[in-house]
Formats: sequence, structure tokens, C-alpha cells
Amino acid sequence: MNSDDTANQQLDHILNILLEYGKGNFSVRTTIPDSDDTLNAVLVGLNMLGEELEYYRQEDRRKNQLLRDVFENTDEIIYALDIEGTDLSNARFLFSSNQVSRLLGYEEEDLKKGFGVWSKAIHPQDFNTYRNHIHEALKGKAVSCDYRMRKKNNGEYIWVSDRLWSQDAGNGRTHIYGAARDITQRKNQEEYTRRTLAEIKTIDSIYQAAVKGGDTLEILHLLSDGIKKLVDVTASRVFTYNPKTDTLEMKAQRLSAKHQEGLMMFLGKVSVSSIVPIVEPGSRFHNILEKRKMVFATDPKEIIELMKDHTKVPAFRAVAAPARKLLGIKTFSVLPIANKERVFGMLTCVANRELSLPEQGLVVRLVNHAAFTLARIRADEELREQKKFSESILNTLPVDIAVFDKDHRYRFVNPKAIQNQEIRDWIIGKDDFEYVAKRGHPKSLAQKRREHFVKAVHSGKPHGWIDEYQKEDGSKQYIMRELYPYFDENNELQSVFGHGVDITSLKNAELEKEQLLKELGQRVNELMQFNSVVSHHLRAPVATLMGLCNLIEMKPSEEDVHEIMEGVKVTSEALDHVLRDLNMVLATKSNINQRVDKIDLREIVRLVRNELELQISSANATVKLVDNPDLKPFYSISSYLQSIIYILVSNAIKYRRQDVDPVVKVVAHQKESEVEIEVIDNGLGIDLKRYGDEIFGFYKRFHNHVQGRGLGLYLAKAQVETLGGQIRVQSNLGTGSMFSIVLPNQAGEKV
Amino acid sequence: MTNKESGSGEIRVDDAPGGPIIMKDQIIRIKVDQKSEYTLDNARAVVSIVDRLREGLRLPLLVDFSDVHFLSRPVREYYSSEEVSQKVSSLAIISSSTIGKVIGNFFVGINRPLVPTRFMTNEEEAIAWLKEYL
Repeated sequence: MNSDDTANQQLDHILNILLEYGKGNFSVRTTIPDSDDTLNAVLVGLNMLGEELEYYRQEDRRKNQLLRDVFENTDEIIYALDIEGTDLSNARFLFSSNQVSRLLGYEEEDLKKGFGVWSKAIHPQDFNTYRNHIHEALKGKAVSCDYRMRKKNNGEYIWVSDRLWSQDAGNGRTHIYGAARDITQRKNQEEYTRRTLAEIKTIDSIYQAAVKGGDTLEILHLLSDGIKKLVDVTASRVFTYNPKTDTLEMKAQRLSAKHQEGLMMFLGKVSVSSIVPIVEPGSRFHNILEKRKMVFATDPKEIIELMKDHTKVPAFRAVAAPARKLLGIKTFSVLPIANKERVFGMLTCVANRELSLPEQGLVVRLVNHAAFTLARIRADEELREQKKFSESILNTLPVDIAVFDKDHRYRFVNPKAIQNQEIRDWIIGKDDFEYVAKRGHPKSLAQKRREHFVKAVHSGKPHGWIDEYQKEDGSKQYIMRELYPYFDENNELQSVFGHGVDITSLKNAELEKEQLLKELGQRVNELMQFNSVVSHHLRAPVATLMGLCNLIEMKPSEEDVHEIMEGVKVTSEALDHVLRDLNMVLATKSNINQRVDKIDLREIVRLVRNELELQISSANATVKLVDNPDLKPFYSISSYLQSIIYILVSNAIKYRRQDVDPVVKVVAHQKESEVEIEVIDNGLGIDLKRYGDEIFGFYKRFHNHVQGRGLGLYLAKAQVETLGGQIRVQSNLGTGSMFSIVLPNQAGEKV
Repeated sequence: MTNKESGSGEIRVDDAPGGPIIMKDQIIRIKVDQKSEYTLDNARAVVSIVDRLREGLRLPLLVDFSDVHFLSRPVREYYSSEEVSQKVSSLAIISSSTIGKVIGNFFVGINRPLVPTRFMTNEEEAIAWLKEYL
């Protein structure tokens, strides 16, 4: 082989290697054995270069595979777009990872057909957001945006969070890289949180309105607003229910412009507000209200029937089906707001999509909450009314009323029992021991009340007693109290109801009655005594006169007649005395309209002394008034008092001791509202042990050594009693007597 | 493997794969035999011998590629690896043949060993340069 042949052969080798390299076959090796010329060296160089290229190609493939493995095994959709300028419509996919297929159902081949597939998969409401972020990325910024993408197989949307960045690809082209992660779960959680917060806000607003005394309509409006915020509704209406007329009254409606426009197309000039659900027995809405069952109608036929039941006009009923279609109604919700006892109102909501079960659950919760709140409001109102009514009774009754808990602490006190409202408010939750401490009353009062409380509780029966109080003016007050223990069905003491009635007037009347009966008894006794005495003292002279008459009939001698006539005279005089005494007594007892005067005791004693001047001087007696500067002016019947003192002073002189000069003292004492006048003598005294019961008797005499008829003390007592007073006597034989007369001050009165 | 120590103080390993290995003046010299298949195993065996000869020191290495017709990528990669760089302080490749020059330059330019490496044509100059790394 000559050198030219060798060179040609070597060139062929070189060409062959280059051709193979051009085809991408870098593994070709060739050399010319036993040759050490330059071309052979080039061949060796090419061989090594091919080996390097093959190595790097393998390395590149390995790295590519590695990257693909990474992309395919990540949760993110990795994609690369090639964009010319900023026109997104001409964008084309350079690469998309398998997640596009797994998550969305699109194959890489689908995407490589054009950007339209991708852009149409993005939710229409989110596409502008996506495009804006792409433009930001084109400016070289790394951005991130959330948007929804529709799945190819079922049309459902998933949320993705897409990180976008770019790289200049030269020639006015840019590569946009995206890494989109499925965040549907997070978004759902966020949506759930948002709805929960909105739900809580609505529930709270309803509660706040209720606390501030909001009425039914306000609560229904808040409920309607809350549902609107939580669920997309295109129309909602609020009705209140009138139980008297069994009708729904529309109070508000909220329609989207499109919805209203659509309705007007079908209803023409008829007001939309006049189309109100018909609540007649047997109708759908009547049944819904009666059963308190919320309806979420999604079946077109059911929706149409509900729409029809808003009117009886056949023409309007006929357009329900096309109206539903035009308005795109997918859900018709009928929400009765009611509890078991009553219906408060109704809401209707229309949506252009089917509400999911969680959304329906949300609406049900809100409606139930509103119904519960309204029921509570109504119950509270009724309770307040009931309480007001009960308290008006308890507060108006002229009776002390108190209610205690099982520990004898006050739960209620009416104004009659405690007038001071501050104390009345303070006492709630406190017991009588705290009460008496606050008011400065004796602790014994609380102890006594506690004893009565314990008695009532232990007996389990009503327990009563009468409290007696001393009033500031000295008079007495009587309160009849009773405690009624109240036990529940488990025989647990719940409370004790107590009342107190002022029976002072009743008690006084009773005491007065007792006094009157006592006095009546005395009067009867007196009368019987009087009758006995009178009949005795009248019978004696009458019998004498009858005997004398009998003697005259027997034709006595003139001397006897003279004697008989003398007897008639004496007997007649005796009869006259008796009759005069009787007249005097009757005059005293019946004379009840005497004038009441201011009593001047000094003047009375002076007049008595004048009348008895002869007896005083003959007996060498002393009659004196003991001055008392504490004596207040008092009023009584002056003539009676003078007569009483006359009788007592006269008796004191008449029944004096022979060995001492008689001394009679008249002493007056002030005794609260009464006056006590004492007439004290140093006379013979009276044997009270012997005559005690008879001393003021009619015609009763205890000393016979002086003349008398036994009438003075009887008259004195009668006159004292006529003045409303009492007379008592203390006496010791041989020492003297003291007569005490207690008289009431009769200022401004007539006896 | 046989070590021979000559009177001049050099150590020779004649039966090393690929060609004899000589250590003289603290410089290890390898003359790759053109007839041998210089595989990666050969290269590892050679480096193993070098490892024994150096007695813990990092010594310069002179390789003569004059008789090499091809040096595969794994071998080149091995000689430029960290493993080898821990055993040698510098590397000088010399060749009197055109092919050896191509291979030597390719190795230095493409594989870029981690220790100072030069392709030289003159052995004395190469030894002088290597001595700088003793």
C-alpha cells in the first residue's frame, strides 16, 4: 500500500466516523493498525472525542431521566411554556409532567396541541388572575397564584396553587415554568372555615338582636342575610306568618337584577311581590308549615310545582316551567321558621345551582337557631308578662308577702311587707338575721321567725301565728302570719310562701267585743242586782201599804186609823225616797251627752269643799289638793268628776274615826294618756276581805253608826264608768282608804 | 510482582501491567507498553504499585505515552480522580509518538486531573518540572 492509498484509507475512516457522529452514533471506533502518522493520531483523537460525546449524551439522558423521575414523583404539576412576546394565546407547551394526567386527566399530547386546552381547563372566573400572573412572570418576577382547574373526565374543579417563573429564551421568546400544586383540600378547609365563621357571625348577630329585644322580623332579616352570605342565592324572600288569618305576609325580597328581569318577562305588569305562597289547608306550603319540614327542592318538577303554588291565576301557573328554565333555578328552598308550638315565618331561597349537603346542613342549622331564638324571645316575653302580672297582684295586695328559698333566704318581698325599695332589692338572697342586723331590730325577732319557718317546713303544712307589735304612738299592731311550704314532685322543698295580714282592727274589734261582753255581763249582773234591790226596797213599803190598807178594810177604831195613816205616811215617804234614788241612778246612767270640758281639778276641789263646808267644820276635817306640776291639761265631764269627788270626800268625813281629825287628800297623777286621781282618807277603813265584791253595790252599807242609804259609791262607780274610767279601792280597817280613779283624756270627744 | 533495586538506587517493577514502573530520585516513572491492553483494571493495578512505592509520600509521576495507541475514558477518568491525586503530587506525560501526543494532550485538556499535570515532549524537562513537586 503506497502512501496515497494509506492517506485515502485514513480519510475514509475519518469520514466514516464523522458520518456516524452526525447520526448520533458516537460509539464508533476505528484506527489503522501499526500506523503512527498524523491522520491515525487524528483518528485516535476522534475516537476519544466520540467516547466523550457518548459519555455526555448518556450522562444527559441519565440526568433527564432523573429530572423526569423527580417531576413524576412530585405532587406538583410541572410544566414549561414557550411564549413569544406577551401573547398568551400563542403559548405552547414545552413540557408537562405526568401529574397533569393524574390530577386533571389531560395528556401531554393534549397540551402540546395548543394552549387552548389548558386555558379552557382554568375556571372562567379565575382565568384573568392566571393571565395577569403569567404577565408578571414574563416581566421576570417569580409569582404565585391560586386558581381552579376542571378535570377532563368529570368536569369537577380542583384548586391549584401555581408558582410561576420565567427564563429568557432569546429571539423575543420566554420560557414560563410552572409548578402547580393541588390545594383543593386546603381551599375546602378555608371555605369551611369561612363558612363556619360566617355562620357563627350570623348566629351571633341573631343572638345579639334577641338580647337587645329584636322582634320576629328583625331576626328573620338577619337569618335571610346570613343565608345569602353563606350560600349563593339569586332570590330570597322573607315572610311572617299570621296565625289569625293563616296567611303568609311578605316582608322583604331580594332578587338579583337578572332574576327580577326574568320574572317581569313572565309576570308582566303584575307585581312580583303579589306572588306569595298560598297557605291553604292541603296546599304544599301549608303542609310544609304544618310539618315544619325544610325543603330543598332540586327536582325540576318539584320546583315548578312550588313556583305554581305562588298564584291561583292559571296564566301565571302555566309559565312556571319556562320561567324556571329561563331563571336557571336549580334549587328552590322553602324554610319554615317554627318550633313545635308556633310558626314565626318562612323564608324562600332560590339558587342557580344545586346546594350541596353541607350547604343544606348549614342552612338548616341557621334556621333552627333562628327558630329557637324566636321561641326563646317569645317565651321570655310571656314570662315577663306573667311575672309582671304576678308581681302586680303581689304588689297590689294589701298583704305582706314574702317568698323564701329552702334556706329561709328571701326570694321575693312585696312593697306592703317592705316599703323601702332599696331594702327590698337588698334583701333578696339574705335571711332575717341579716335583715334585723341591718334595720337594728332585736335578733330575737329573726330567731322567732326562724322557729316558725322550721315548724312550717317540718310539718309540711301551712303554719300560722300572730305577731304583736308596739307602735310608736303606743298603740298595738297585730299581724297574722302564715307560711306555706312548697315541695316539688320529688318531695324536695322548693320554697316557702309567706303572707302577713294586718288584723289590728279585727283584733281591736274582737277585744272591744270581749270588753263589751264583759261590760254587758257586768251590766246584767248590776241590773239583776239592781232589780233585786229595787224589788226588795219597793216591795217592802208596797207590802206595808197593802197591809195598812187591809187594816183599814177591817174598820179599825179612829185611834187605829190615825196610827194606820201615820204608817201610810212614813211608808209613802220611804217609797218616795226609793223612787227618787232610782230616778237619780237612771239619770246618771242615761245621761251620755254631757259636754266635755277642760278639767280644773283645783276648782272642783274648791266647789266640793264649799258644798261640804258644814260637815267639814263640824268634823274639824281637812280637805286638800296636792299640787302636781307634771299634770297635763285633760278633758272630761266636769260635773261628773265633781260629783265623784264629792261622794268620796263626803264618805271620808262621814266615816271618820272619832279619835283623829279627818284629813282628806286629793292627788292627781299623769299616767301616759290617762289621769289617775286618788282620794285618800284617814277614816275607819272598810273590811275589803268581807265586802270586797259589794263595795260599789247598790244600797250597800258597811257602817251603821251613821245615817246613809248605801247609794254614794254605787253612783260614783257608775259616773266613773260613764267617763270611760275605772275606780279601785285600797283600804285598811282603822287606818283609812284610798280610792283611785283612772280617767281617759277625752280631748275633743263626747261621752 | 518483583521489585528490583539497582545499584543506582532506583526501584524497578518490571511485571507491572501495561509496562515497567521505575522509581528513581523520588520520581515514579511508568512506561506504558504499546502491546498491552491498558484497561481500568491495569490502571488500578499500576496505581496500587505506585501506592506501595511511594511509602506514604505524595510523589511526582512521569508517564510515557509513546507506545499508547488508545486510552479509554474510564482509564482517563481514573487517572484524573481524587483517588490518584491523593497518591501523587504531580503528573507529567511525555510521548515521542504523534498518537501519544494526541492522547496526552486530550487527557490533559479534557480530563483535567486534580494534581498539576503537563504534557511535555522532553523527558529531562519533564523530570525537572516534576522535581518542583517533591
